[in-house]
Amino acid sequence: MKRPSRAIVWGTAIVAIAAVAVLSTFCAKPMTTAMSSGASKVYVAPGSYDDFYAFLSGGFSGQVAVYGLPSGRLLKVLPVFSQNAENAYGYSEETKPMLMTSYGFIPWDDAHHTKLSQTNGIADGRWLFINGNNTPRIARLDLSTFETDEIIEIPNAGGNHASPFITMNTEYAVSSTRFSLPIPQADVAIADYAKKFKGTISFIKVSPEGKMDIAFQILVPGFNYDLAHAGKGPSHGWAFFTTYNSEQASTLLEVNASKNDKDYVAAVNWKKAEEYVAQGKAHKWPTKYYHNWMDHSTQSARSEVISEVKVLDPAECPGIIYYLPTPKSPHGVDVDPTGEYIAMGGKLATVIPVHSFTKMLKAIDDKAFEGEVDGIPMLKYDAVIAGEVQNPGLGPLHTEFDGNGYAYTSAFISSEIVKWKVGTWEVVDRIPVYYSIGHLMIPGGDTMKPWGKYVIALNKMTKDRYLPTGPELTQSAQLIDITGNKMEMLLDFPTIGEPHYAQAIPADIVMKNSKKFYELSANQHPYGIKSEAEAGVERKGNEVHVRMSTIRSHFKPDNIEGVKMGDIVYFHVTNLEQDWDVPHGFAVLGSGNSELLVMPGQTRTITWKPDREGVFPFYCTDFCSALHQEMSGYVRVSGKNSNVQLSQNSR
Amino acid sequence: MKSQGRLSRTSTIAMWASAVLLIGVFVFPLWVIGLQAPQYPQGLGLNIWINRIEGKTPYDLQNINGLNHYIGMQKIEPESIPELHYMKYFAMGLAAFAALVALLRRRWLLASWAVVAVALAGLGMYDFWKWEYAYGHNLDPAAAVKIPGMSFQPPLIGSKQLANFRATSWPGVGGLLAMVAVGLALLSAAYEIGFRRRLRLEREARSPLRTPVKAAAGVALVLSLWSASGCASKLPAIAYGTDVCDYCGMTISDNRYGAAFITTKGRAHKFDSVECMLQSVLVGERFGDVEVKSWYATNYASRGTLVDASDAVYLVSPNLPSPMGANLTAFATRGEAARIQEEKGGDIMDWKATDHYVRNWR
Repeated sequence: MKRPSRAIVWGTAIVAIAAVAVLSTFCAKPMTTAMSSGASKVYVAPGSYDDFYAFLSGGFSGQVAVYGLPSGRLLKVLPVFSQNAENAYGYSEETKPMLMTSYGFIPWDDAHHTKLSQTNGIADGRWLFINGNNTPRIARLDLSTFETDEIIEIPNAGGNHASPFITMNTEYAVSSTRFSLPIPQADVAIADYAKKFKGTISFIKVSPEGKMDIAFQILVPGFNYDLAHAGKGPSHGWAFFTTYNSEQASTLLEVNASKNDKDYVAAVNWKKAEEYVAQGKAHKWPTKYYHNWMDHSTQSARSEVISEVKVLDPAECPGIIYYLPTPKSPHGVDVDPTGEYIAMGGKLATVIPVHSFTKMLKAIDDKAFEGEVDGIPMLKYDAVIAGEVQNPGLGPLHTEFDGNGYAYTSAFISSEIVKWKVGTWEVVDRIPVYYSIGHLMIPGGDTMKPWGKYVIALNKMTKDRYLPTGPELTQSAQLIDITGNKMEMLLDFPTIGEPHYAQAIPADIVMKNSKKFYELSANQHPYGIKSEAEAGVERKGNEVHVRMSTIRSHFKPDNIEGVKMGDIVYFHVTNLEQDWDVPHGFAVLGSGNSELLVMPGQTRTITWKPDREGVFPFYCTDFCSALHQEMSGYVRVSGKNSNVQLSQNSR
Repeated sequence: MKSQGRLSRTSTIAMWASAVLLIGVFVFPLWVIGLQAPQYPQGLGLNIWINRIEGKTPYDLQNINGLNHYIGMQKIEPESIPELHYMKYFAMGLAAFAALVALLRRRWLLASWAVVAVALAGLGMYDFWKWEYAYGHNLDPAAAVKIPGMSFQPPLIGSKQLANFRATSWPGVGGLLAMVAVGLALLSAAYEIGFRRRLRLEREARSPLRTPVKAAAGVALVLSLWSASGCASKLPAIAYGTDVCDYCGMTISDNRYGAAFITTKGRAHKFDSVECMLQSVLVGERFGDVEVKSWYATNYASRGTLVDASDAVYLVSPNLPSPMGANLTAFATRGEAARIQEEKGGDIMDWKATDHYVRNWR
C-alpha cells in the first residue's frame, strides 16, 4: 500500500506544479501584451499632434473641454456659459453682454450637448454648438478662434435639454422643454400641471454665417422632452425628440413619471412646419429673450432684446408632428448614418427599440393611428418598429454608430457599452466601463460619415479609478478601440465638470483654420489703439478711461496719477503684439474683478473701483518674455477733493 | 449502570467547546450579505448579527435601502424584524444547554441538544429564506424599475446576479462558529454511538426506550420555551421628528399623536395620526391588502407612548385638531379622555366607532 500512495503524492505534486507554471505564463502574457499595445495605441510623442479634436461638454462647469485623441491630453477649456476668471470671459466689458438673458446677467449654466456644424451630414469643423440647460440657451463657438461667438436665449422653455442637435446642413439647431411650463408664463397652481402646462419644440435658424434666429416654436403637450437628433439622408427634413413623463406628473417624477410602459418619440416634420410659417399660420406671441453675439470688428459682444416669437399649434397645422410609442421613459434618440433607423435608449426598457423611418412614413400614409394627443396623432408601435435589441444591458441611454453597420449603446446601470448589429439587432460584444456611463461618442458617430476608430465612454462616476481627491471626485472619459471585433479599453482620463455629449473631428479639418492672432489693423474697438502713441488717460465724470498698450515687456502708460476715490477706472488694454502665442495679462492690486488675458491684436477692458487712497501696482500675469517680471506699473489713487490732475507718464 | 448514560471525556470537552463557541455569535456576525456592482467597486454589504442588522460600513444599510427604492423593495428596518429581538435568547439558551450537557454528562441530554440545535438551525435558515423571499417579491407596483419575470430575492447561500448587482450570501464568523459548535455536538454523538456500541447493546437489552424518551422530552421542553418566548410582538417606537408617516409621507413630529400597526408578517408601519393609519388600510390604499396583527395609537396624555389602539378610547373634538385634520385624539383610559373632554368638548368613542368614523370622514 505504501509505494503506490507515495507515487500518487509525487505525481499530484508534479501535475500541480506544471499546472501553476502553465497558468501563470498564460495569465501573464495577455496582460503584458494588452498593456503595451494599449499604451502604444494612445501614445502621441512629444511634439506630435493628436489625430482628433474631441469637444467634451463641461456639464455643470458650463464650459467645453477640448481634448486630443487618442492621447486624452486636455488642450483647452473654452468658457461658454460660466464666467471664467482665467481669461476674463464674463468679467471683461467686451464679454459680459454674452451672458445677458431676460433674467439679467447669468454667470453660470449647465452645458450639456456639444454638436459640430455639418455640411451634407458630415461634420465640417466651422462651429461648435452647445446648449445651456438651466436658463435655456444655445451657444455657438467659432472653431477658428475657439471662442464663444454667439448665445441665443430660448423663450417659452424650461430645461433646454434636447438641444442643440443640428440638421444635416446646419439649417437649424433645435431646442425643447425638458420641464414644461405655463406658456406663456403665469402664476398658476402646480397641481394644474396636466391642464395648464405646455412644452415647446423650437427650431433655431442658423444663417450661412452662423447667426442664430428663432424661426418658430411648436406648442406641444406638457411632457418632458428629453433628447433629440435630426434626420439625415432620406429622413432629412425631420427631427426626433424623446419624451418621458407622458403621465404628466408634477411631483415625485421618479415614481409618477415611470408608470407608463411606453412614452413617445415626437417626430417633427420641420420642412412642413416651414411651409406653415410661410403661409402665415404661425401665431406671433409677445415674449422677451436675448440674442448676444460677438461683433468681430469692435471685438465686443452685443445684445439685442427680441420681443416676439412665432408659435405653431399642431392642431392647426396637421402633419407637422407625430408621436411614436416607445418603451419606456426613453432618453437618447439616435439616427443611424443611413438616416433610416432611429434607436432609442429606453432607460427603463428591457430592449433597445429601433424605429424605421420608412415604416413611419408608411404608417402616416396608412393612418395607422392608435389615438391622438392634443391634435397630434399617435402611430401604432407595430407599424413603426423595425426591431428590438434584446438583452442590451441595464439602463440603455445613448447610441452611436461606427459606419460599418454596428451600433454602440451605453448602459448606465450595468455600466457597459453594448455593441450590436444594425438590421439583425443582435448583440455582438460588450465591454465594462468605469463607472456609470452616460453618453458615449464615436468621432462622427452621429453623422452620415462616422470616422470610427474609437468610442469614448463618458462616465458619471470614478470612485476608485484615480488617486482620491477628497469627497469630490472627477468624472471620466475612457477611450476604447473599436477597430477589431472585440472592443479594447485603451485609456482612462479625467474630465472637467460632468461630460454629457461630446463630438470629435479629424484634426486637420479644424487646425488649418485656426487663427494665430487678431489683426491689429482690423481692431475697431472704440477704446482700442494701434500704437503706443495713442495710449492715454481720459476722464468722463467719475469714469477714468485708460487706453493702455502692452508689448514685450512694458505697459504704456505704466504710471497713472489723478484717479480719485469714487472713480471707476476702465483699463482698456490693447495687446500690440502680432505674433503667435504672445498674450499679455493685466491685474491690479485689490481688484474685485478678474484679471485680463489679452490676445495679440485684441482689446479687453476690465473695471476697477478703488476703495482706498494710495498707490497700487499692476502687472502682467502671463509670463510673456525674459523681462516679464519688469512688466508692471503703478496707479495712484487720491482723495475725492484732491488737486492731483489725471495724468500719465510720458516715457 | 452509571457509565451507561454518561458522556465520555472527549464528548464532554467537545460540549464545553460548543458552549464557548456559541458565545461567539454575540461577538461576530452570523451571516454576511454582499452586493457588488460596477459602480460599487468596494461593494455594499450587510452584516446580520444575532440581534441587529448593520451595514458593512455605517452607511451601507442606508445606501442599500436607497438603491432598493428604485425596484420598490420595502425598506430593511432592523427594529421591525422581531427575530432580532429574541434570537439572542435562543443562542444563550443553547449555549447554557450545551454547558449543562457538559456538566451533567448525560448522553440523552447530548442527543436532545443535538436535535434541538439542528432543528433551530433549520428553522433559522427557513425563516431567513422567508424574509429574503418577502423582500425579493413584495415589490411596490409603482416602482420605477420593473424587470419582467425578475424577483430580487438574494440567495440563501452562495451568489446570484440580481440586475446589475451580484448578491452573495455567506455565513459570517459567528455563523461559522455556531456551525462548528453544532458540528462538534454531532461528532460527539457519533463518537458516543461508536465508542460505546457495546455498552449500548447491553443497555438496550435492559431499557430500550430510555434514551429516546428522554431526548424527546428535552426537545419538547426547549420547543415549548421557544414558542412561549418568541412570539410576542415587539411594540414599535416612533422616533418623533425623524420617522415619516407611511401614509401621508410627512414627518411625524407631534408627539401627542401618532399610530402604528404590526402586520401578521411582523412588519411595523408608523403614522403621524390614527386617521392616517386607518385610511392606509382602506381598500385600494397603500396597505389595503395587508393583514394587521396589532394596532397602536399614541396616548395623548403621556406623549410619545404607544398603547394598544383597540383598547384605547378616542375623543373627537373640533377644539383639538389632530395632525391630518380628523380632530381625533387617543387616550389610554376613559378617565383621561373625559378630563380633556370637559375642557375641549366633543364626543368619546371606542376603537370600533373610531374606525367607522375615519372611514366616513373624508
